[in-house]
Amino acid sequence: MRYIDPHIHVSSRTTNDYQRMHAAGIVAVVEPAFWLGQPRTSVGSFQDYFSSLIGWERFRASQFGIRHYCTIGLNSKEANNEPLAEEVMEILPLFIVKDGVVAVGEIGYDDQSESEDKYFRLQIELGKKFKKPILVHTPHRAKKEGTLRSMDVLEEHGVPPHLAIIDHNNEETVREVLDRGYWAGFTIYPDTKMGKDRMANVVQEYGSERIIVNSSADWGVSNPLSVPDCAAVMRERGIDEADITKVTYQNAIDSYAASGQFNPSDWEESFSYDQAELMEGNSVLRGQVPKSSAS
Amino acid sequence: MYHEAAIDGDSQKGMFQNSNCENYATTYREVYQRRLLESPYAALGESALEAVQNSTKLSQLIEVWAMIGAQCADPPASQEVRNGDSVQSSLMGIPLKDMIKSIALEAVCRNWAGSPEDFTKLLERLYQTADIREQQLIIRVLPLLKFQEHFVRIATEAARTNIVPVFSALALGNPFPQAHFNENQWNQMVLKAIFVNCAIGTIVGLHERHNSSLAETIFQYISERHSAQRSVPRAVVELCEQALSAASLLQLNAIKPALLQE
Repeated sequence: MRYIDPHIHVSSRTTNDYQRMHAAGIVAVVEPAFWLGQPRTSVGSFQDYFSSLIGWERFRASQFGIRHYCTIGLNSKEANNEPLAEEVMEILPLFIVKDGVVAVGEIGYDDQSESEDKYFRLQIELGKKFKKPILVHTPHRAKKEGTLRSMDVLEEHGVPPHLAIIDHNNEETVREVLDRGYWAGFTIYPDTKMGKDRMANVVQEYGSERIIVNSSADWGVSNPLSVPDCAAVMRERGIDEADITKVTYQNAIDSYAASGQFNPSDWEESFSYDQAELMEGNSVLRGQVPKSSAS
Repeated sequence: MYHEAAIDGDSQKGMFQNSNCENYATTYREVYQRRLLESPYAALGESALEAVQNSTKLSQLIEVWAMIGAQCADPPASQEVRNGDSVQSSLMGIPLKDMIKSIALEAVCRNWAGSPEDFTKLLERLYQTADIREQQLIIRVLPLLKFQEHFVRIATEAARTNIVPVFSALALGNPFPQAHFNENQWNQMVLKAIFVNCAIGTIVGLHERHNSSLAETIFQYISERHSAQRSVPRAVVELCEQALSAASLLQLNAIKPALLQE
C-alpha cells in the first residue's frame, strides 16, 4: 500500500522517522512552510528556511526513498510582526515559482488579527498570480468561526474552491467545508485535533470525496505515521479499500495537481535510491548500514 | 610535474582557465544545441533568450526560469553526474530544462553592462535562493561565464555542501575548480570527493593539480580506513602514491598487503 502524507513538517523529524515512514509505504510528503516554535526576527531566517525546504530537506528525504514537496508562505502567527512580514512578502515570489512547490501555504488565521487578515489576503493574490493552490491553516482557537471566515475571504478573492485546501478540520467544520466545494484536510494527532477512530467515523459519514488525511507531524507531540496508522484503523472498521486510497493517497495528488508540480510519475518511475552512493562523509547516514530500494 | 605542484600548487591555478574552460564551454554549447534541436523545445530555448535580453534583475531572471520550468516537460534525467566518464556524457545527463535555464543565465551574464561585482551579487543571491537542480545548473555553467574569477565564493559553497548532487556538479567533470581554486580549496574538494565516495577519476585536473600536501592527507585517510578495517578505492591509493613523501610511502607500502581495496 502506498501513502502520501500531504502535510508534515519533516525538517523537525529524525532520520529514524524517515526510515519508518518509508517502511510503512509513504512515497511522497508535502512540507508546508510554517513557524518554528521560536519566532524569527529577520528575513534572512525565512530565506534560509525556504531554501532548506527546496534544498537540504528535499535531498534528505530522497536518501530515504521519499519524494519531498513543499508549500511556501508566511504563516499566520508570524504575520503579526508587520515590519518583518513586509520583508517576507518580498522574497516569497522567489520561492513560490520553484519546482516542487505545490501551493501557497500554510496561510490563514491564528488570532484572527487585522495583520493576519492583511497577509492572508495578499498571499491569496500571490497564489492566483502564480497559479498555485492555497493551503489554509485553520486556527486552534475559535476554529469554526476562523474556518468559515477563511472560506469567505477566499470567495471574496475569487478563488475557486477546488484550488484551496482547508486544513485541520474536525466534526464541527467538515460539513460546511465540503458543502462549499473545498478540499478538507484532517490532521491526526495523538492527543489534540483528530483521532484515528474519529477520522474513520468522518469517512463513514461523509465518504471519501475531497477528504484528505495528514499527520502535520512537527516538533510537538505528533506521529509521522499517522496516515498509514489511520488507514489501518479504517481497514479494521471495514471501510472500502477504494475510499481508504482516496483519503490517504489519491485526493492529495488531485488537490495539489493544479500546481503542475505534483506528479505520481515522480515517484512511480525512475525513483530508485541507493544509500550506498551516499554513505560516509557528510551525508546524513554517517556510517550506518546503507539500504537499497532494491533490497 | 607533481614535484612542481608540490612546491607551489597555486601556480597551477589560472593556467588552465583559457584552455579547459573554453573547451568545456564549446562542448557545453554543442551538446545544448544538439539536444535542443532534437527536442520539441527549440522555440522555448529561443524565447527564453529573448526574454532575458534586457534582464538586469534577479526577479526577471527567476521569472524566465519559472517560464522554462513550466513549459519544458523534460523528465528529469539522472540528477547526478558522478558516473559520467567524460565531460560530454555528464553534460548529456543534465535535464534539458536545466540546460535551457543555464543558457539563459549565461546570456544575462554576457549582456551584463554593469560591474562584475554587481553581477556577482546577483549570481550569489540566485544561488542562495535556488533549489537543488538549479544550484547544480549554476555550478555546471560557471565555466561559460564572463567574470568567472569572481565566482570562487559560490564554487566553495558548492564544495562545502552536504547535498551530494550539488557537490558532484562542481567536483566531477567541471573544469572550474582546476582553473580557479587555490591549493587549499582544491585539496579540500578532492578529499571531500573521496569521503563521499565519488568516482575521482572524473575530477578535471586531478593529476595536474595533485600535490604532496594532498597526498599526505589522503594517506592519513587510507590509514584511518585501514585501522577501521574498511576498504579504499584503488584509484584513491594510486592517487595518493603519486606525490607521497618517501617516509609516508614506506608506511603505505607496509600496510598495503593487508589493505582492503575496491
